[in-house]
Amino acid sequence: MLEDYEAYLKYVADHPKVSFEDFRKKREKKPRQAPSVVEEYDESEEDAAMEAEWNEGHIHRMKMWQRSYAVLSVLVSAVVLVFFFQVSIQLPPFGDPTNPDLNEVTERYIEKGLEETGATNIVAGLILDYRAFDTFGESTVLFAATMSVILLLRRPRPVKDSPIPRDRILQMVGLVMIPAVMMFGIYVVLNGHLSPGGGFSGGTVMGCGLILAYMVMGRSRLEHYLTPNRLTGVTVACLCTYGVLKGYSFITGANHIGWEVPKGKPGAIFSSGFILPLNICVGIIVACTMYTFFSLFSERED
Amino acid sequence: MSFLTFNIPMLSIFLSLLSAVICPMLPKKNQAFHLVRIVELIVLAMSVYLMVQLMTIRESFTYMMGHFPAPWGNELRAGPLEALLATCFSLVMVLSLTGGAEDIRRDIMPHRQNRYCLLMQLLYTAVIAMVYTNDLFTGYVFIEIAAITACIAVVAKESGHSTVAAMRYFIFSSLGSGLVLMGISILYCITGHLLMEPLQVAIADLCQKGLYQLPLTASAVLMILGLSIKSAQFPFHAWLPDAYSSGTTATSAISSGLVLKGYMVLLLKLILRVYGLGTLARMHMCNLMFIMGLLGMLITSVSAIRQENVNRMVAYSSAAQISYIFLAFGMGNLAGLAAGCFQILAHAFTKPMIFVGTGALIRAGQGRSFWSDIRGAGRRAPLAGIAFTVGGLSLCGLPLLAGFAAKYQLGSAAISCGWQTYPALFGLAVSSVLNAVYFIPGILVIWNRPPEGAVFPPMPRSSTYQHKISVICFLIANVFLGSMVGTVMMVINRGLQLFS
Repeated sequence: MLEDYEAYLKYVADHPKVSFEDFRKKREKKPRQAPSVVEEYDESEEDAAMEAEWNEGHIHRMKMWQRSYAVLSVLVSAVVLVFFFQVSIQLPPFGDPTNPDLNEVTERYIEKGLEETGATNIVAGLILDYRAFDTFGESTVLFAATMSVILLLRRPRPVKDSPIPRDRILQMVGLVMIPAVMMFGIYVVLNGHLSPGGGFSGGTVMGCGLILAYMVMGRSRLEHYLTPNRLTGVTVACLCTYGVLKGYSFITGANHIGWEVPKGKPGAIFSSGFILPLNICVGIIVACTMYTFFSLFSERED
Repeated sequence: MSFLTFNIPMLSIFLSLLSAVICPMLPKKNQAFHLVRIVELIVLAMSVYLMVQLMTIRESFTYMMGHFPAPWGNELRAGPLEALLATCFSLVMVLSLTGGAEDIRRDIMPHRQNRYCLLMQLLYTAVIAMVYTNDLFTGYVFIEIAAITACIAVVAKESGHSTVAAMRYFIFSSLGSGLVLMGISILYCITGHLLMEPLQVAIADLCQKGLYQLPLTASAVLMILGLSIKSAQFPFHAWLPDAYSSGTTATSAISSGLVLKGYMVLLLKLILRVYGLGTLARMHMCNLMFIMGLLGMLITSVSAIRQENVNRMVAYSSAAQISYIFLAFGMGNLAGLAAGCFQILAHAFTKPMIFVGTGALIRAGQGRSFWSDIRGAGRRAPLAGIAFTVGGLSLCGLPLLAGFAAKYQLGSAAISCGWQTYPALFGLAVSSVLNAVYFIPGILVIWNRPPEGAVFPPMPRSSTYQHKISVICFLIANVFLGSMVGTVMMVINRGLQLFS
């Protein structure tokens, strides 16, 4: 207390309007810092003079740099522009049947895709069966992004709740829309191997639904079910499922063991092997990613 | 080949990826840290086994990811060189995390440490996947993972400096990824392949017919520039000093030891397995890399001399060492590529050791990383001082250490080039002198008497044995690389022969 008061006496000389109570509150509220972050240290007058001198030179250099930067950036952009124009003119024309990218690779995807993957939607068969490893990597990119945002923005203690928005129009329309949006998202995910769509697009729709629910119902009501830990848990479970399922088919495929998953009848909902569960996993990962981004960023803005 | 040997590449990637994914579910922070390191040690053991096996049977193999063969499905490829790189990267990763453990505890808030371990493990997975991949697009996906995780690892130490540095890093890194992706798309447009072997055939075919020469050159330029931005090669190294000096020790060690090297491995694959040396030389790409490397190793070394902050100096020295690799790749012959690979390994073991040593020296000094603050710190933390000294001398080129062997290989590769011989030898000599100019004063400062009346914070007592083990392993690895050059070069050469 006494220490606080002495510090206050020093502080009040510069800031006469601050009361002692406010000052104490301010001190207590000091943000938590990692222990190694260096506190500001007092500068002597000599330091200040040197710094002023250095600053003057620095400002001059910065001005020069900015001027040359403007000229240089325009020049570089112009060169790059011309270069890319040249390149794109020389590229093979779009849709020409003699193009080099229409080779045996695409031919097999289109002609044998249905037979080999069991998926009516060739794109789903392509990304979740032929090139499933790439898609696993892409899901991991999303997971890495979510975890990074959580690492940067999540606070140890929950912040004060934002009040439920009083916008009646948003609330009423939202309550009608949410079930429809969510159902559509689930439909797109589940039907991913039969019609255009799949985990990424359906997951985006579900994520939008969750964001809408967040805006309509407020965070506290939604977080009753979707606590941050549960969201992380669900994402982790989905990614692990993806890894285990695909690990199984990679090992059996590469070692020619056989034990293939039954493909089912093309066009039926339970068909095309692992594509349906993989689509569900990807969809949930995408939805959780979008929702986590939104909720963490809006929490920070409050 | 036994079942286990054949599956090691895929198991390495999957084990490390799954262990990363379950990290946030572990209740205590140290569990994630231990899990991550145990998995890395398992991968290390498997990679050593794989390397020995492949060296005895003298062959490489491709691994089909799924039920579909080469141009349709994804594919991994493993040979002696890949196994050697995976071994070294795993070892460097474990040692950097162990050596930086103390700083992770100090710099990163407790509730974040689990996720920090997760991101580091994802980064490691990405580098291992870049080593084993045989497909350009898979390579790109893992470039993205490495880019995100490396940036966040910098900013995990919460301070104004690290935030600004990470933003700058992120912008550069995204630009690099974008250029690489554009290069891949142009290449796909004119060849219709993403897998490396069919790509090489298709490119040779295009060159023979003289078709699409400008797009082909453009794709090579874009990918080489993209990778050089991401690996902080000379004109694009502006992000590096801030990112390395403001991150925590483990971050700097891993970024300089692994991440930059992962991109270099991809570049090596591009040179040998996609374009082929002849085609690249005809497109003057080899000259481009050579000149970038030559300028880089001189100019960044000069910048390193001007630094007052020890971490920034070491970071500039990293940029100079990356330039050595570019110089070696730009020589345009197999000997140059082999020397580049050796430089990758030598730098992967030297720079993390210096960073781990510097971290402990800063802790033992007056708490900040300016030269004046760590004066005499070597006397308080002798082992860290030895790490810094040996690392510095190794980069200056003292015989029996890794850096000397790398410079020797570079020099002997330069002898057999064309016009590059004299510039390369000149660059090597001058940059070695410059290395000495900035490292030797540093070494003298840390062993000097501390200034009168200096106030040192108390030395942390707990878990320093981890740091000791890490530094001793780094020292052994450095001397091993420096003295057993013949063995290592044999593995590299055999790997490169099987490569193309």
